[in-house]
Amino acid sequence: MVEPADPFSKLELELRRGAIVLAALSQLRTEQYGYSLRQALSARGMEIEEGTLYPLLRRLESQGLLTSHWRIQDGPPRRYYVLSEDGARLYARLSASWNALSGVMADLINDGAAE
Amino acid sequence: MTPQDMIARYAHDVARRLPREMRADVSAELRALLTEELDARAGGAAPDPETARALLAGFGDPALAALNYHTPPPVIDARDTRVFGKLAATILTALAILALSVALSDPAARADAALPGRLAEGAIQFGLQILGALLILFWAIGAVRRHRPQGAWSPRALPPVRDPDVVNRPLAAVSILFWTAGLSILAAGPAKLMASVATEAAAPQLLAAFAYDPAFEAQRAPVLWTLLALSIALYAWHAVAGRRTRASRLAEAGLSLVISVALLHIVLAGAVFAAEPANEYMEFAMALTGSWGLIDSVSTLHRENRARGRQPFADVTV
Repeated sequence: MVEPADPFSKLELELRRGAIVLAALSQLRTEQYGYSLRQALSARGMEIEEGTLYPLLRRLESQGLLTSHWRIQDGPPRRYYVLSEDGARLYARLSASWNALSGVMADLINDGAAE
Repeated sequence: MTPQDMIARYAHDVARRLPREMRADVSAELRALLTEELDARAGGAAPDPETARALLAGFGDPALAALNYHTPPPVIDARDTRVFGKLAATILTALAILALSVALSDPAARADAALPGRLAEGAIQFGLQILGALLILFWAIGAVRRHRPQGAWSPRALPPVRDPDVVNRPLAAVSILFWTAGLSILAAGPAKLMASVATEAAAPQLLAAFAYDPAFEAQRAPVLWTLLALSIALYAWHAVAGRRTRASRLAEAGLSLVISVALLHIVLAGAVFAAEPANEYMEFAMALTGSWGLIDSVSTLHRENRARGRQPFADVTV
């Protein structure tokens, strides 16, 4: 992935990296192929570049968090991904961490804004 | 070229950079996904090459896209990069200085004009061999580390903190005595000293072997002995003060620079001893010391200049 040069883009990319994984896992409780997953995330306001999302699915699969298989259904052959058992457990833990972190961050940011 | 051809080529270019077992699968999936993206962008119409180009440009350079799929282990671990760089630079610099010193001091170089070229070629070849060996060594260290994860790190392994500006007084006293004795021998002249301390008449061949060249003794030697005496005096001052300051570091590096230039000038200006091989050994030692001192003092001055203003409390003792 090409690192952006300006500080805002660089830091925003750092922020988004972890969120993208969680966002993808959240939509993979049901089977999705790459393009449909990107559409589903985009419809919820989470735009992820193709070059970031598609390789991410492979990496998550190689870590044992997703399982995949090729299937032909209403069109050309597509590779479908879904959470594995390990992935489902990890997703539950990550979601809890995200919610806790999100609450802390909201407090910190609101405190900072109030001062 | 059709949009499908462009996508096929792109998918192949990404996949060929991946481990063999991943290639076919990633290529097929990438082709399917990019085709679907392209069809969506075309909005039901036949996709045109311009749209395909824009899609692939967004996906990025195939080499970088492949890294997103699979990141191979580095040849040199990031934690070792600095050590590798310093080691390689030091060895290559030492090798260059050694070759230069031999070229400047070897009497054969005056008769054989091709000798410096051969020396340079030999130094480059040896330098490349050393670089290759270093690369293999660091790659092996990284590979072993990746395959055998280390145990828990312990703070007991941390080296003690040393203040580089503190002068070790006992060591400095011994060094000053040693250098003063050495300078006294050089200033008096080894041949004259041998003649004066010998209980019996020293062999004329021995005295001739260590007699200074008259031109060196009359013109260049006084300047060099004065500079070396100044250097010893400056070190003695540091030893008395107990630690160096920025000003004293600059003075030390400045004087070292002047001495280094003087040493190289002397080697190039003519003989030091009237006879060989004493002259060859002395010129070799002077060229070696002068070249190393030149690089060391210039890098110290450069470092001090860069650090200026960044360390407001650098001279404060804590």
